[in-house]
Amino acid sequence: MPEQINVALDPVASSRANVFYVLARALEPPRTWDEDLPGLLVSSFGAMPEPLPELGAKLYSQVAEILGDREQAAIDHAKLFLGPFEILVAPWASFYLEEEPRLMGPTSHYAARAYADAGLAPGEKLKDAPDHVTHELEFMYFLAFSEATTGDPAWTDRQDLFWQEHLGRWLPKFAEALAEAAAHPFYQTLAEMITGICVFESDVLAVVPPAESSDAATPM
Amino acid sequence: MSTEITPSEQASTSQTGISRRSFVKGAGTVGIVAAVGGSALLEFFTRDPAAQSSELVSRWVASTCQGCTSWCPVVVRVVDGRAVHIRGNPESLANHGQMCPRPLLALQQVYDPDRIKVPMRRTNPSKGRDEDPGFVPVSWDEAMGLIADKMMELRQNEETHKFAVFRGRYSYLRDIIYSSVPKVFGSPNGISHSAICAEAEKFGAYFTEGFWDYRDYDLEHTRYVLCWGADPLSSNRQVPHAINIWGHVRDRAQIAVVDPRLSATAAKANEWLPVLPGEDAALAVAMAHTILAEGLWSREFVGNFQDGVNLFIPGQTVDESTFDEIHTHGIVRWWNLELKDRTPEWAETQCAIPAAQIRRVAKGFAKAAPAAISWVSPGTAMQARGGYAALAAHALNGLVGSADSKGGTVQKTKVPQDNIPDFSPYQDDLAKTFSKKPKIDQRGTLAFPALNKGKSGGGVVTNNAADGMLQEDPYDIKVAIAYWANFTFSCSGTDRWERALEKLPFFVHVTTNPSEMSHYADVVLPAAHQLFEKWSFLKSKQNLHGYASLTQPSIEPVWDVRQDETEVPWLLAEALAARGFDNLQRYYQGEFADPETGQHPRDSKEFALIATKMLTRPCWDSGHKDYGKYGDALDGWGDFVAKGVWNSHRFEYGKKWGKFGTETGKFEFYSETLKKALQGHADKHGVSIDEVLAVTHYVATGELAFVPHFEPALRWGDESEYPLIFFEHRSRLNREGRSANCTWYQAHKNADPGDENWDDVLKMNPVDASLLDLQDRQMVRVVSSTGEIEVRLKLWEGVRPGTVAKCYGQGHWAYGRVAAADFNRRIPRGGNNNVILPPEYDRLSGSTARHGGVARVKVVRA
Amino acid sequence: MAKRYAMVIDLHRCVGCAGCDIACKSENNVPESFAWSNHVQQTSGVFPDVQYRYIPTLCNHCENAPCVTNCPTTAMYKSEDGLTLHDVSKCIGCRACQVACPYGVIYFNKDAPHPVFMEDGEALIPDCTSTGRETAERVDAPIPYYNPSRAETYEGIRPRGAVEKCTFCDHRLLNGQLPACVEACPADARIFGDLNDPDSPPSRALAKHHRRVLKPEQGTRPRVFYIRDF
Repeated sequence: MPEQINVALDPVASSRANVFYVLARALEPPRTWDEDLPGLLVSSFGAMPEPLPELGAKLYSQVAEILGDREQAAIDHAKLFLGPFEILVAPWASFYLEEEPRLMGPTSHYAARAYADAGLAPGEKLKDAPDHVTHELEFMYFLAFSEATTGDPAWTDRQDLFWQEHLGRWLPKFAEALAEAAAHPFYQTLAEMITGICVFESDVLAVVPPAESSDAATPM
Repeated sequence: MSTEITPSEQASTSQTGISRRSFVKGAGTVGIVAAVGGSALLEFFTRDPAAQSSELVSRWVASTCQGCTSWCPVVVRVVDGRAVHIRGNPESLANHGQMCPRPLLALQQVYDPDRIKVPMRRTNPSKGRDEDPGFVPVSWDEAMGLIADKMMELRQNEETHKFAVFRGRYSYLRDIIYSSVPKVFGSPNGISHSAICAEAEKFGAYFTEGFWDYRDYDLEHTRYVLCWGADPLSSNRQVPHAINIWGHVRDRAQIAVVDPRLSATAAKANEWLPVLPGEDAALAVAMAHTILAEGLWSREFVGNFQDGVNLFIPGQTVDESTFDEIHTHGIVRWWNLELKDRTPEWAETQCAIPAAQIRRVAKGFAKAAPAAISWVSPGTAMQARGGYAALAAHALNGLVGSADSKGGTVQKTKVPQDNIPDFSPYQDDLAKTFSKKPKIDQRGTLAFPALNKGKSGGGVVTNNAADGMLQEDPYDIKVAIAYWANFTFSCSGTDRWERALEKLPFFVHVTTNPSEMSHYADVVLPAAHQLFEKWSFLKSKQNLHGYASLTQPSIEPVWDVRQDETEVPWLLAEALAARGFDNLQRYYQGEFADPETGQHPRDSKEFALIATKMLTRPCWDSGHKDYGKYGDALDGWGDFVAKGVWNSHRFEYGKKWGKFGTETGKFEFYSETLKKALQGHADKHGVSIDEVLAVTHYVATGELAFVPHFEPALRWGDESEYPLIFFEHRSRLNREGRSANCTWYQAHKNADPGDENWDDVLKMNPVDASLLDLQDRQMVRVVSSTGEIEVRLKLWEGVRPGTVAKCYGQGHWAYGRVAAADFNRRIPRGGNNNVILPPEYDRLSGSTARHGGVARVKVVRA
Repeated sequence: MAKRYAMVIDLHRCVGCAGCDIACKSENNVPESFAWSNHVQQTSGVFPDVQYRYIPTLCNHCENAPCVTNCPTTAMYKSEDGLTLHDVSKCIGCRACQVACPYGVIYFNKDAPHPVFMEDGEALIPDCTSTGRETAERVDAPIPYYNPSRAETYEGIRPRGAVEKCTFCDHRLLNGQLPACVEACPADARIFGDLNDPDSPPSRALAKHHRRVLKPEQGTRPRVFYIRDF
């Protein structure tokens, strides 16, 4: 039985946490998906503005279908993000933010530093570069989760910074590239969903004052 | 401000069946994805607020390795609830924080890909090696119910003695399942594995110095180590201490190793004596002869001729009255009865060791004395008639006065413990009567004296239980539980065990892996791994310190397993009580209580913990009468849990002289103690001692029976048909017979001299291969008069021409995907020596003769 | 000041138990078929005058490392403390280092590592016994006894297509610990430390005993030394 968390939950932060969590999972290889992923998809978007709930419902049925037979989606996922010959959609921030993209360059280090500042260490499953899209989405989940469960505005600041300086600058481009390259309907819907989230995030986070004042939280 | 959060319906289960994720919801608000426990659910990250390295977030948990019977205190590194590494326990004075390679292999055991996850029930009523048992999963409740139903039938039919518990490896909580279960239920049949282990070794020390146990060895101060089949750098006893101190020993002492194979220890010795298997006693008595003839015995311990002139002249009888003996008994009689003609030249013809080498080693050993060790091991003792070889080899310690001396062999320090509470009040009339019936292993019958501590039938005859069951003599067994045992693999003459288990109507196997014994089971219960998932404790000694070492859970059990020695009997008691027989349950619930709180156990897990606390109380509870008396005074239970080991004071030499536990109180060369034991057995059966010796396959008659003497090797198979002598040995990576499914074992097997990685080779001298026209690395059939195996041949100079050797531990046709070449078709990887070794015994000790070249074989192309 | 790490192996104390090899596998998540820590053994002579010799081997962390000079991408490099290290992200799997190394201590992940735990397998007894993959998932780790500390300085598990090798446990050195093989050796036969410190255990051992290295004719200047005889 889960333990009880005796804090109030900010509904917006909670929803956003769920959304980032689900996106991170959905971008992982379909082979690794847990059976409850569809359930999370329906439960997570209810509090969000349209078209997100609608897209969530669409994703729900697509994911459920893939869980019945993961083969084709797994192949498409590999083609999109893994290779072996050509990667159709680069899943790393460096690719979008650097002129001569290289892994473990300044963009990767920015992400790694942000994680460390938020009190996260690499887990056992962190195999790829720090700036991989699934890592960054999970990081956003963690920040929103912490905001929702503690109510501490520091967590909001961190999200704002990370979004404006980093993730928000490349995730829309990633979604664009995905929409273009995706053959599988699931990945098409996913691209739409990510675009929708980007719009929503920019709205939500825009109301937060700029964070230049908060040096301590600024990744160097 | 706080809101109650309850799990919603979305709380989910991952593919693995473990609930990992939950979806918590604040009242009236939206829910949030979280981990079970309420924290953020992270795949790629771990919380690390202080940005510390992961080294700092791991913890070390003390436990005990039972890979061999050194029983070393170790510590387990646990990260995120997983066991990831093991080290020797730095709190231990016995192994001083060292360990051999075995504990690490335990990591591959607890996470073995083929562990049994849940209880299993057989669906195919036909039993046999070629039958698929058709196992299906069942709940613990259902499994225990099936067992209790069968046991209740025995009670209703008043034949509770037809129930048996077979015990293999064990901890010191053993009495709960091994004694209280059968005896409260009403059966005498607790059958241990001890007689396939090393009982004949204890025979040697008991009938000379009255000590039925393994000795300790003062390696730090010794000047000579004479190993009799002992290979302490790789296997029992005290492996890590021996490994650690060996460089020091080589700096100051001579080392001689008697072993038909160039063992790991022989490779690091000054002298290798590749004795003909089974002829060790010839070598030992010739060494004794030399020590006396050369006048090199201990004057201080043994005494001297009254006029100081050595009358031990080869071939000549000596008048007993001319010698004043001090701390020993029967030196002259030993000479007259046995030694006077046992010259090194005679021995060379028997055991194939050159006379000059025998003399050199005997003299070197005696001159180094009393800082000299004659180290008797199963290799020399666990032979047909091997009790006398053990006696002869151990008697050398008496001759040179190294018994109980600095630099010599010593007994042990006391490690206090409490026993399980008296269960006799819970035995009803049926139980009291039927638990006194004769046992299924036929111990104490004329042919099986098994003189444990001198008592006829005092010891077990493990391997003969199969024949008892097959012959229904003294009766048939109907229900049996075996735990931590695999007798269809580990006992010589495996076919008899297969037949006995086919015949057994209801069999329960408690085991971690689906093993050869499980294949015949009606119910299989998945056991906790001893090192990581179990409460218990062990007692042992190394480096002149005794110790009690705690075994405790360091991880959550990987699967739905229970602790064999505590939880299983508890659950069984519950199931029996539900069927109307509650004596066992009342005993466990009523007599066991936490020494700190007085609380009685309410479930099986509490029972395991409370039993461990109760039995180890003298180590940690300042209220106990023995607290701090014999060694460490640990600061309460928490301190014991943290440190994991209680160390005794260091052994003090010389206290036993004049007070040995023999009939005479002396070190007996003429064993009055053995004489009394043999007489007791003969009287019990109304025969003479000579008749006993004849029935039990010894050649000695008359007084010779009471002194260490030469008995010729006993071998199965005619030399003309089976020209080669087969013998086996141990591996430095064997966790008894349970390593073969570990890839690290297979990948490093060539650390055993002569062996190969990922193989189970028969080692043959190139001279024999050339005579037999066999090539290195080809597959061969090894055929004895009782069975055959197919393995790869390895030509190697480390074995004597005329003999072939193979390591024990492989040849599993079950156990797992690595151990067996094809589990489903029951095809072994390598060959099990016990298929070709016959069920032969050293009957005076009850021991199975697995050593001594008991099987002759022929080796032919496969 | 930079360190000059070195290991001295005292063959007189070594008993050939392979404890180093297995401890290394455990510490570094080394696939079962590789042996960063390894040994050579040899039986010579004719019965009964037979000798057995055992020499533990590992990466020599050569001062003049052919694997480094032959690596086309600088994936193989010397650290400032003299360790010969490998950066998986730069490794193109060309195996030039493997060919260049005269000691055979570099391993190539031709296939995906740890197949027992990472690939799906069938249970021997369906629904009753586990599989490797199921065990790994059960404890939520790539291999059940996976050591996360390894990942502090190297890939926790090296991927298919990359080589891998001994690092003198650089991740442990950073935490002030000895390499795992040194800590595990029950014979205390492995002596590790900084040769720039004349009082370090290896400096003292080398001052006292005649030193040997493997294949000196290769000019690699190994940092693993052997003293005395097995």
